[in-house]
Amino acid sequence: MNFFKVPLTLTFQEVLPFLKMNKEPSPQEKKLIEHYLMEIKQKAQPIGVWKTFPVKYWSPEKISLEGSPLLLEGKNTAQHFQTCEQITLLATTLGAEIDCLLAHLSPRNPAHALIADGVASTAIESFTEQLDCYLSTQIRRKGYFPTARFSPGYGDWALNWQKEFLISLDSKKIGIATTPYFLLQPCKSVTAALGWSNIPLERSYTAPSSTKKPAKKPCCSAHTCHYCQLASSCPDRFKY
Amino acid sequence: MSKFLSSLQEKALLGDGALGTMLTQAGLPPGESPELWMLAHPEKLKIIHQAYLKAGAQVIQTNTFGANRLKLQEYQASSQVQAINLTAARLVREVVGRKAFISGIVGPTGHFPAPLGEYTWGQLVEVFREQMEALQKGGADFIFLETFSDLGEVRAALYAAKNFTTLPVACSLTFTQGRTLTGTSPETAAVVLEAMGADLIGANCSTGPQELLPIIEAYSKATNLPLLVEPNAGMPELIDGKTVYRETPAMMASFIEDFLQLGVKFMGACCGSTPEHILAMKEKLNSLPTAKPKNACTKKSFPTRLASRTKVITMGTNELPRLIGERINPTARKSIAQAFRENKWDLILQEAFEQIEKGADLLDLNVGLPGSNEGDLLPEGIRQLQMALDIPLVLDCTDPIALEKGLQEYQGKALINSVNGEEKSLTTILPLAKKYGAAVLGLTLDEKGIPAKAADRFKIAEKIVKRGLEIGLVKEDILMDCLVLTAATDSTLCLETIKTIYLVKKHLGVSCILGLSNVSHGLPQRSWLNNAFLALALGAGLDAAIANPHDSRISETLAAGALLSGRDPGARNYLQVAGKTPPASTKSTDHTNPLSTLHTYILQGQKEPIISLLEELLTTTDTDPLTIIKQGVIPPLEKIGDLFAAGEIFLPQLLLTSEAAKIAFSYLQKQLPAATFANKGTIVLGTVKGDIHDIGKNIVKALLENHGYKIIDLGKNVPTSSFIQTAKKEKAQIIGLSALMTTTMVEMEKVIQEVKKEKLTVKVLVGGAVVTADYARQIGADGYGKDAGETIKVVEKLLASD
Ligand code: B12
Repeated sequence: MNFFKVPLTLTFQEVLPFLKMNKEPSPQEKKLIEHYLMEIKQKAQPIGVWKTFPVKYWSPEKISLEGSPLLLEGKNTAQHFQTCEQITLLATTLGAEIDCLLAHLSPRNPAHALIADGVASTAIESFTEQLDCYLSTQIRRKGYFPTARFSPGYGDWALNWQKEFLISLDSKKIGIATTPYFLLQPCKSVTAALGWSNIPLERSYTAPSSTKKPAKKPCCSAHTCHYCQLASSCPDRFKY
Repeated sequence: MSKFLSSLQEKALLGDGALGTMLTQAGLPPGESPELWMLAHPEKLKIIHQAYLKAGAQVIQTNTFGANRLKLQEYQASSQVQAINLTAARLVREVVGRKAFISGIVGPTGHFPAPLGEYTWGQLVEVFREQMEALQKGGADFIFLETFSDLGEVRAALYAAKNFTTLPVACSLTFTQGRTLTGTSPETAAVVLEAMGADLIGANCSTGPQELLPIIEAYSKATNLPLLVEPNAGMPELIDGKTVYRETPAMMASFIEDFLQLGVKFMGACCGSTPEHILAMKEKLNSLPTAKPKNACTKKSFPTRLASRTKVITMGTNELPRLIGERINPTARKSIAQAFRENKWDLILQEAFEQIEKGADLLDLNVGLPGSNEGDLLPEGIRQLQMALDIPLVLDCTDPIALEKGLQEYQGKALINSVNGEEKSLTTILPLAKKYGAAVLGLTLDEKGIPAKAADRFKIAEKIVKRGLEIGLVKEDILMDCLVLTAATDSTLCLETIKTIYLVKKHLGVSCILGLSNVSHGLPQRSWLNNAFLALALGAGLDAAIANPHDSRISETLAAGALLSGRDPGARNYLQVAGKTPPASTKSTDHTNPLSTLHTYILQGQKEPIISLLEELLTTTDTDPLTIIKQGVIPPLEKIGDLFAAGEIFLPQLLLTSEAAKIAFSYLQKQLPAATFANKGTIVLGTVKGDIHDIGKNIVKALLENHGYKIIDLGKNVPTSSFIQTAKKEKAQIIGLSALMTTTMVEMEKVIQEVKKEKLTVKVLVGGAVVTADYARQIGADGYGKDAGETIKVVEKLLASD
């Protein structure tokens, strides 16, 4: 088990796509974004945990891991990790205080709540990306090729696996739990898997910011989904 | 100067490529430590070094990337640090003799300094020290810190190299999307590492040469130091089951010219590269005409630069004057003293954020509290603040022991506040600035106190600058506070301060800062005095004021003063600051059509002036409330709906607008007979059982309410029965259901089944992230809203079809 703690680095510009703002926001919106950027950076307790498991067996329908009750189940899912010898599981959260902030704003001030929620979502997404980058560099140094990260609830990997996922990581230690309906708590939390492929993969190099384009198969490629222009219309969005 | 550094000045040197790929090919088993494997197979390493030397590398690296105590611990080999580093360096020397330089490779420990990681700064320094001493003993020509992803950690390594070896040090960070893992930009890294004494700085790993170009360009704009770059080799191809780098050597070589142009003096290659890459680069280098080193003639000059972990703030005659927030100071404020005493860091952070929101460019941190130990509080305060804040800190402390502890923790380039003309202060504080890469603020006082006359204060300033330069600080890193006393005791002295600023700026050319608030101590209307004095000081050349950001006049005076003293070309800053104040409401009274002012307020979501405008409309122009609603409130509401639908404005603005409209509407409604507006419809709204997300639902609720519907909000995690009972009791026309995930979306169908079973006439409307029109149809819902804007239309339709 390894813990990951780094400060949030997200910027104003990164928040805009999450708020579905594809051009300049109004001055009032700008002020609110700046305000909640600061407040969330102040209140968040971002922390991540990760652990690497060797692949026990692979079939076109599922993958099981050495020392974990989790299955990476589903055709798309198994295919995504087809060439991997090991899988790193990770979980990240902004902590409970952000839920409190959002719960306070939500019924009182919808415009503020919407912006604060978007900033918080961007924050956890960007924090997860930081952890992903960190792990990918290590995977590359060891001579493997990292896959894009992939999560339960995406593609055909059912949300029902959240429980086993969290058990594998002992994520109680960083305060993440799941409800009977498999929702993570705190809300701003993410679980994801990163594969160690032994052959080169197109996605294994970090796309430079200026040339970031949607991946070819958008909605199954986990983290690119939120930014993908097709995200709202993609049929894969609902496959589970 | 070391031979390595003087060679760099003559021409760019070529390094070698990756060891990882080569080691795997040479038989390193997966999962094994490359360093330990080397001890068992020294001859294999020599073959690799030989291959790179033959390809043309002029600098060969030691196989010691993970050869520190903490990394080796993972292989239960932390006792082997000495042996590994000595052997690695000697192996290279045996191969290269005097034909190439040896870079003593030091990689990250895998642990960031506390509070991010569990090791303190001091512990990390010791870890690095152990490795570096062995590398020097083994014959390394310089220490090469590479692939660092945290400025705090590389700073500890650089400190160890500078203080425990006599070798030159190269520092290389790894960046993705323009910053390190913990958020540092190349510019910030350049400022901090240069101040700490790095000899060569740059970037390696993570990305290929194309993506590293802008990083190196940013470095080159921020420093005069020689630069280094080691890009990854790019994507290999899979040919016959083997990873082959077919096109990448030529591609790598094609970037050499660009890098040289930017001031790169040392270039190698990282992950994935092989001797073929180095050979291609060598050929390219040889084919280039030997241009004269541009360095000498293009030396850039910089203003005073201070930095946090993530941001650089400039100061000086051609920069905007800066505001340093003074409020984290327990002497002047009881609440701060209390917070320090009780370790309530969230209160201190709150104080910091408020000052930043009011425009502070830097923050003064003073922990001087009677009965507490500054040596504990200062480093702790820094740990707490620097992770959360973007802006640099001014360490307000004169105790050298506490300062040293604080400077070790601070990962940026701090300003030490302060040193003075006393011998004791000069000899203890100035060396700290040099050792830890900080700037220092001098006070014009000495053993005899603060001189009355400007000429005498100037002499002290001159002495401080001279002594600073003598120990190796640059002029930009020495700043001066010419000290003001309260006007209450002797107001004639105030102008002496102004004169001193003028003299110091003119003859010493260092940046001037002023602790402003002293001037008004003990007098009423302090803000008047503070601002007048600030204006005078700006006229004399002041570069920054330590002041209270909550006094809004300070930012105004700074902006105005900057413009009037010629520091704000094109008045860009002034216009921006001036534009920040809300547009004057003059429009409302003398406007020919006050209704259009109402339109503007609603469209811009300005709630505050609406009521007074409506009062004015009702009384002075005698317009009737219904007309105002029809001509003043409804049109902007419709317009904003259209703009939203067309994608011209975004959801938050739509909400702000409709909130403003709602205020106008409720106010006007009260002026009318109760029956004028029938309820447009009653809607029971909630997030379904099992789901705890309500932001989407609350947005929908707000918009519907603002459009005149009665909403009964059941909240989140609402059981089916509650929806049914409430709908019956309230005679609702619509039940609205929200769900964010597929696992909870299925609850919607249950509500619909129940509505059917009870034969209710109520219509069911569904929505939420995973819900689609198809799914809505499939479960028998009467309507589906993709987003809040669309929901308004769908509700209108549903009610119309009633
Ligand atoms: C932001 C986001 C996150 C954030 C925050 C999530 C949160 N809990 O707050 C983060 C990064 C943390 C996250 C994490 C996860 N996410 Co997510 N996330 C999203 C995203 C991009 C936007 C959701 C959002 O907050 N939108 C903003 C709000 C304001 O919009 P809204 O809720 O949709 O409401 C609007 C409309 O739907 C409508 N509406 C809402 N209610 C109603 C009601 C009625 C009556 C009507 C008419 C209309 C209506 O109007 C609202 C305003 O316009 C969606 C994809 C998407 N494009 O929707 C995925 C999505 C919800 N996430 C998904 C997944 C899988 C996850 C994770 C499980 C991944 C993982 N394994 O870690 C986790 C789970 C987290 C948890 N707490 O359980 C999937 C869910 C798929 C599924 N199987 O259920 C989605 C759909 C992405 C996808 N394309 O697959 N996620």
